[in-house]
Amino acid sequence: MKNRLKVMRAERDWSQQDLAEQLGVSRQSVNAIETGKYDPSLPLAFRIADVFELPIEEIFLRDEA
Amino acid sequence: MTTSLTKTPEMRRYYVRMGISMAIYLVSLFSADWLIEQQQVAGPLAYLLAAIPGLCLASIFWILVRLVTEQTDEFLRLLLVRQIMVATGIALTAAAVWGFLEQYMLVGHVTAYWWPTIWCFATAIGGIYNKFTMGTAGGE
Repeated sequence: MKNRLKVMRAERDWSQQDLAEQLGVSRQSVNAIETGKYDPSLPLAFRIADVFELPIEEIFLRDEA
Repeated sequence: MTTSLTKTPEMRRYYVRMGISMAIYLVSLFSADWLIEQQQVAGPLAYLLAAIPGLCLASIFWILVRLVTEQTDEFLRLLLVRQIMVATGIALTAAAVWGFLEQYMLVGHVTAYWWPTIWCFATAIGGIYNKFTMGTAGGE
């Protein structure tokens, strides 16, 4: 699943570590999500949406069929 | 296990538990070795003493299960489970292949306690596998 995490983080001038601390996860988790190696669980996806104050669908994008 | 966040409570508990388990393993191993070799114990007690080092492996699996369940970071939990699965696959496959080779008398006998030992070493291969496929073994 694609996501806009890296762009949105850059817009806010946050490092991966900054975002990880806000989410309560490791920096590796943020990196894995950003690079598409790992799709977060629904609870974590909601936490990410809360941190960015955006709906989930504006952060995570559907894979094109 | 090569999980990051060594400062986290679950990792601290993991290291404490593993340290205690290894201490019991070493003490029981040397005790069994010496007492049984010197014929200081016999009968059921000797069987029990000889089994304790092997039973320490059960504690290692319990410690790993605790780490998996206590790990609050879902991505690191995934890495840990993958690492365990890789190690289990390697050790059981090696045991099965060697068993068949032994069956047909192509190789010598390997004492069974080497298979869990191989499993422990294979967790490192699991970490390398994570590094190549997921970009991290879990550590910084």
